Amino acid sequence: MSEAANRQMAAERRALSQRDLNRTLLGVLGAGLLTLAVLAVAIVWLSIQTKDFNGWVDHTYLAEQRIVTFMESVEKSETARRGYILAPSPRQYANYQQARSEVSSALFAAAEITKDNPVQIANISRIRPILVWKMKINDDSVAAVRSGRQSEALRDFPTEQALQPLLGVRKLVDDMLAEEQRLLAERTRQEQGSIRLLVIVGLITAVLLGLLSLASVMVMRRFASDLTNAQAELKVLNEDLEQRVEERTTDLTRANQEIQRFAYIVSHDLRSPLVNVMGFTSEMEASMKPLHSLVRWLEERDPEGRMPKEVKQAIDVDIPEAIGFIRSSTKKMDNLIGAILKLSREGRRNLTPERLAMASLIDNILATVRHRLDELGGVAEIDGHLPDITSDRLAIEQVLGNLIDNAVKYHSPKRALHISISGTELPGRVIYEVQDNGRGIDPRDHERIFELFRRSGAQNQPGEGIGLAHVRALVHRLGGVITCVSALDEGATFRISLPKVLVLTEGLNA
Amino acid sequence: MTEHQPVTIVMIEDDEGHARLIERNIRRAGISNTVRHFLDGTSALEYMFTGGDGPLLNGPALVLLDLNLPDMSGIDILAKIKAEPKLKRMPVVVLTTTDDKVEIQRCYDLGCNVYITKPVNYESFADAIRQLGLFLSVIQVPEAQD
Repeated sequence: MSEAANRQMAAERRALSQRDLNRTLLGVLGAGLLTLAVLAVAIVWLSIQTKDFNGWVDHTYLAEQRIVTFMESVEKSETARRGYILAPSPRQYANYQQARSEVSSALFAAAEITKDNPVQIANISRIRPILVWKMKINDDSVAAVRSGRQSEALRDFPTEQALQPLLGVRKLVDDMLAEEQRLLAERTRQEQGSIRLLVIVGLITAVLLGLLSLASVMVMRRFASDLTNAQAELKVLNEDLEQRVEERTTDLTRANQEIQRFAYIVSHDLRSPLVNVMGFTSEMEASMKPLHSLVRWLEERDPEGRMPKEVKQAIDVDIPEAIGFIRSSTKKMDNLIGAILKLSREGRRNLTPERLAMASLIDNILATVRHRLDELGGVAEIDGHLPDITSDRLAIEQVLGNLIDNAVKYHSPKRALHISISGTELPGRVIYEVQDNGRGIDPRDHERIFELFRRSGAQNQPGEGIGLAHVRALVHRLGGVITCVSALDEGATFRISLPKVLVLTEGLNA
Repeated sequence: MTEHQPVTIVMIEDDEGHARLIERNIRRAGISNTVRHFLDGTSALEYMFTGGDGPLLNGPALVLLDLNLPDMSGIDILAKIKAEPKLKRMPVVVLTTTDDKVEIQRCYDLGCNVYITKPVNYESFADAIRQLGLFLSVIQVPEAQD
């Protein structure tokens, strides 16, 4: 027993640590998966950001290009103006006009693309008045040539005044380009940083993924082996259990047989000395007759009363009284032995299950108590439908017969006896109830009444305290349970729960 | 010779009280035959099979047999008697406390002539023995065969 308990405790401990380990593994796995999800989100976010940075780098290149285009258009218009001044021709004029128109659209394009940068906005706004000034100089010199004042235009040509704005624009454009270069460097650096981060996160993710896969495989393998072990253990336990049940059944059968044999032998061996007690008591009683006659004879011849009173007392009163007690006690003892013998015989009787029509079975029992019921003015009836049962006829008859007999026997003088027998069917079982309105049983005695030679309440009815012990033994043999619901002076209900179909097992029927 | 040789009653009974009561009631029935009382199976068998005045060697007898004996079962004694050709016709009355159906059947199967259960009630007991006495006074007991 203690070994089994130890084994069970060890198993519980093992199961507990196993559960802890499994919980930890699952926790780690869960945390890993969560991290993986976070990393995936991070990768997506970083990819978007890198693409963004990439876009900005492209943007910077485009801005640079537009600024350069603008500067080229300015230079181109300057070249066209000079060409026209030096060798005026309608083609040169058209060239100049063309270049001039391109300047403002190029500036607009450059301003448009850099409008997100305050530094460039400032630069553009500084370029604008210089450009306007320059354009005015240009337009003036071109107009002078057109109106035939070429010399005037040529005179102004090399002056610092004409070169000044051009140099200013060049300077500012250089600033703008430098600014774009700075932005480019910065954005490229950001882009590279983002790419590096992406690579690192990707690597971490890959490593984590690998670890998680490994952990998953381990957990699965572990569970699989646990499962296999558990199955093997269960199988062993099952086989063990079956074997143990078999052993117990054998033990029980043997114990049962031993008790039966014991009861049988004891009751027979107890009877033997009792025969002597009874026999010699009778012999003694018979021997008393001549003694009585002797006392009568002496009395007649002894009018003075010389015979000691004690002699007369002993022979006339004491000895017959003693003999009376010996006889009644022996008789009682014989009854008790007879009861034990009866119980042991009942225990050895082979049960034969058959389908019993309960209504007619009860009717037969009621017929045997009809006379007594009529005397008492009582009623006994079946209440509702009685479900049938497949069981041993004699045993069922004895059980219900005993209960109904008791109901009649222990009626209450205060009211007309009413006995009702009812039954209900449950899955696989049948319950019968014998209910009366008799004198009832003290709840303290509800267990006692089922014991051999024990009785309850006023001992004003004959009986040895065998009936209910016999009933309970029979009900147990039939695989059933009997209970009592009662209170003093409130009637009693005996409830028997029996299997719907009696299945004989070796142990019970031995 | 048969007419004159009295039948010996062999009583095998371990309870001396029972033996005394049985003998008294037999006497009351007017039976005056010799009663040889044995308290155990061994000495009874010895008397019956080898005793100089025992039934095997000398004279007819009737056996009153109790089944619960200290040294052996009365059933064994019964079997031994019925297995001996010279003794098998000797009447055997089983007189015991056991009223087990199976036991009774076994005794008759083995060749017991009468089976009587000792009633605890003394009046019935005395009555049964007296009737047995009457029965003994009228039955013809065969002599041991040579």
